[in-house]
Amino acid sequence: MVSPLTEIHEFSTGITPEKLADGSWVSRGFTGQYMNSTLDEIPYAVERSIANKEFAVAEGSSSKWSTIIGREVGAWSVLAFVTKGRDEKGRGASFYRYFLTSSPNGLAKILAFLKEQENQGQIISFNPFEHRQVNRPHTTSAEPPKLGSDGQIYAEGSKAPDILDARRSYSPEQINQLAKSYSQRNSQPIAWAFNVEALEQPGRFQVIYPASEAASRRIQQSLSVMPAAVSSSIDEQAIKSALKNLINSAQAKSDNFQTLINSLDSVENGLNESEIQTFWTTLFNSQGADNAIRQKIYSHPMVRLLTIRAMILPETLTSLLKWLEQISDRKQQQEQVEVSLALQAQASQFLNRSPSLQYLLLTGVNNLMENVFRRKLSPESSSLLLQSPKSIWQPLLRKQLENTNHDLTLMARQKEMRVPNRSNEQLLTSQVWQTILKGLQIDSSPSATHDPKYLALGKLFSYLDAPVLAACCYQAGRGMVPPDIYEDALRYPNFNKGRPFGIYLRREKTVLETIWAILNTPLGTVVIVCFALVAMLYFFRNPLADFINKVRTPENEVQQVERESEPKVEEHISSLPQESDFLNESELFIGTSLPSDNTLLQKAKLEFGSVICPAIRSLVEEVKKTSQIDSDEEAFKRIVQTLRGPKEITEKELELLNLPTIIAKSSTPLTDKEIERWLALIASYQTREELESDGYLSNPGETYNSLKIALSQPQIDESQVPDSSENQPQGDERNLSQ
Amino acid sequence: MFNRLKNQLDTVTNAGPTQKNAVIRVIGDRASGKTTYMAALARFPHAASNSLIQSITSVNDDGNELISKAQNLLEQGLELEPTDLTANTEDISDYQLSITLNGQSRLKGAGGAPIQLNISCKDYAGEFFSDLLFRDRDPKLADYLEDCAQATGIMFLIDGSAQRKDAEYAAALDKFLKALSNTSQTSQLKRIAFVLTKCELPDLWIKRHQPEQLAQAKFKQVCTKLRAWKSTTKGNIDFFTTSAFGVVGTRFPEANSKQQSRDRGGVTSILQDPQHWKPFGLVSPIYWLCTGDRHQKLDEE
Repeated sequence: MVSPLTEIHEFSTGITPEKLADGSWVSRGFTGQYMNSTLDEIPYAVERSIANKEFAVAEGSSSKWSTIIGREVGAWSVLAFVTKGRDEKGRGASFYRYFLTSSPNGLAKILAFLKEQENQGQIISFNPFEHRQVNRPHTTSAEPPKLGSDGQIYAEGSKAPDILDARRSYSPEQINQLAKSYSQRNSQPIAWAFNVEALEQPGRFQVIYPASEAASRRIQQSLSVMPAAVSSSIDEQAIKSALKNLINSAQAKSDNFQTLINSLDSVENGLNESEIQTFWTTLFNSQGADNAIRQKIYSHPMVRLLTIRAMILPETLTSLLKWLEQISDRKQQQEQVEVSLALQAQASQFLNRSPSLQYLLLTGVNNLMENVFRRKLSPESSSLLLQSPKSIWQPLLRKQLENTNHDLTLMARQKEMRVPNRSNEQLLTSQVWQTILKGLQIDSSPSATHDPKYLALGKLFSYLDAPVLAACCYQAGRGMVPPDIYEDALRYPNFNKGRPFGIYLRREKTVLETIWAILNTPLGTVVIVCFALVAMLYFFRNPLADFINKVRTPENEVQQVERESEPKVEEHISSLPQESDFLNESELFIGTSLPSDNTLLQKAKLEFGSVICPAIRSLVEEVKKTSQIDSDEEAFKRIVQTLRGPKEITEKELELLNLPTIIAKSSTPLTDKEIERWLALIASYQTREELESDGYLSNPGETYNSLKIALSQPQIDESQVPDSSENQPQGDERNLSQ
Repeated sequence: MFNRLKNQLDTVTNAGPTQKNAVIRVIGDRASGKTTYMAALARFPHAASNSLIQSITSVNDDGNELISKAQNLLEQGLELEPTDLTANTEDISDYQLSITLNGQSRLKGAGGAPIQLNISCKDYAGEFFSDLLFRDRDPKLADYLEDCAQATGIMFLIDGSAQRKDAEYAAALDKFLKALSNTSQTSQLKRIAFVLTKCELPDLWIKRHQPEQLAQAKFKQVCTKLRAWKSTTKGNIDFFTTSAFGVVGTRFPEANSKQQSRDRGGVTSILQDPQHWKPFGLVSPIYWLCTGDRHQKLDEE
């Protein structure tokens, strides 16, 4: 039976060749297009695979014998012969001759064809003078040889790439067979390299047969530092090229936006959840995203890169804003913000076409609001981004507010009915955001405890013209709503007569209203009478004084002169330090408050002497061990300062904490008030560090460990500490900021 | 709107280095030393302890590859392969480097603060300049010119020993500048640095501190074209001498390179003594492209 003919096409790297007297050739430069091609147009998938460097041997690697790369690319089986040549300047370069077929089992058939050619005396290598004509492919009926059992090598396990022992001898047919078995196990297209010194993308092969042991080591090493290969269904190079173009161009081409936006779906479909995250993170870092944040590199390409990153990886939106906030030069900051907004405006044109992008941007808005709640981001800068007409996140803000309203309504309904939601209605926002929203529906009575974290959200919502949500946040944050926000909220239907989402809003009184309210009480009547008397005295003062003058004795006169020569009593009092300057505790310990949970508070109080105090003393020992502090008092102060946060602790505050008693391990117990101050201080630290805010400290314990780490680091200015979510090495930041 | 952010940021006390940026395209004939210049810059070996240049770091993977090339090839006494003429300008490597100069750099308005030069730099295959410009109908030409229009600065590199190609280079440069002004995109180009490379060669080394005179003497026609461009546009030009390999010895300096070939297009060399590899003048043109000011001390290192 005659075997059917297989068509084999070919094309080669385009160069301008020059034949030398000895018959050899040199390159006089690349032409930028393929030559000696039997194809009118190179298949797109093959062209992209070449651009993805999937056939490329690393620069500088040279092998005596031709390197062969075999790979299945879409419907094509492609085999590349890599030949080392020279240009007329004597510089070495790699030149590629590609053979390809769309026939099944194509690589084996190409190898069979090449074997046949070699048997006929042909030398298969890159040859610029071996001209070919378009639409005149090679045809062959050569069948791949059947490998006998002794010629077969088998896949061990499924871990690819399998780097074979360079000391053993293999044929390209054997390598192809082995790669085929790996590809079946791993559901990956066949990809192998034969006789290679080094590869640009070693991770994208099933089998690699190194040219030497040194080559084997080189390949192993480059594999160890390379990110894992991505699915072959994703054109990584095309995405990278589009990204590069977008970040480097002030007038980006729409094709590049389209490529990037299309890739959102291809990456989503080709990879699992964690791989998607890794793929994008690696891609953005390959373009310098992490370096830009860490080294504070404020160039236009980096602004564009981090803006695109924030679109695709929503959790990085916060770091973009913080990074922009850190630009010290106002003019430069304005310029970079404009660069970011210009890119966003360009990308906005694609928003309606991509539900995936809309989803990511909505997640970004949601994350932003969560981070405002966590005090990682100011309401001011968040509102700037969300409200700018050029912002790509701006259209999604309405959606987020709608979803928030929807979820709050649903939660209120469930709470009212005291039954879980039986309808099919789902909550629309993130789990974390839902938890934050649940916190809004707390007891509205004035005596209830309030979470000040909601105040930042209240501020954000008021900036975003969402006064009803702002009012709910203020209610949860301080137990009452500022009058102007309350008045604004009144105009909205979901205000619901002061009970939006079942939350009872209490309007804060204005100063005038407070005075009026006082005046309307019996006490107020007394005040009015007193006031009237004082007023009368004031108005009648002059006639009265005249009368007194008339009856004044000389002694009285002297006293009067003396009195007039003294500064007025009020002036004197005002010039003295006010009690509140150093005595009023409410002015001290700002930012600290006792834990809201009474049970936990009681536990902490009870165990202050037995658990918390020893933990603090243990930290003192740690401080003395890790820093150059010798005295207990200094170590205590360091701990108190760490608990206190960026605001410097005052002597008065230290006194109020009764430090000497703790230092001296005195048997005299601390007063309840002093213990409460300690617990409030610990709780404020826990809030800042997002630990459970119970005011409790034990060794071992989460708070203890956190403090131990904080104390082991040198003290730095908080304003310079980068976002912890970025996992930035702080040392670098500090060096650069110096 | 942004005033609010500004006010908030008034509290940020961390001044940080003064940052200057440039988007650069490196053009020049084949084997004029473009990639070697970039690799030596990224690697920046054996900086003197009193150097004005505090650090040069790669920001992206392309920059890292450049450093690898310097380490694995140049430092091993090997030469770099010619850069491929890619069909798609988006596939060209874009080297993002960050150069920090210490506080003595005296930039106008920077006071004593360090200066950070952030560059995004594409190194075109020499074929763009030597061949492509003369192929009028090549679709790649338009693509390359559009890409060039994004640049704020051009580094025009010429092998200092290729003076016999002055007329060819002048014609190519003329064609390039005309084509650039006719691109559909508005060119961002503000400055062209004319950089003579391979100045470790003795006849160039002795005149390295007079770059303009040296350029004028060896490439008269190119200089005329550049000055004509300057007078007809708002752009600026300046002249620089560089050596990616540098010299060894101080009293009787010798080129730290081993010549591989020589023709009318100049020389090709490899690094002779990697232990004493100290390039010369690499940062000066970049400083000028980023700031518009010439830095005397950088001209000397």
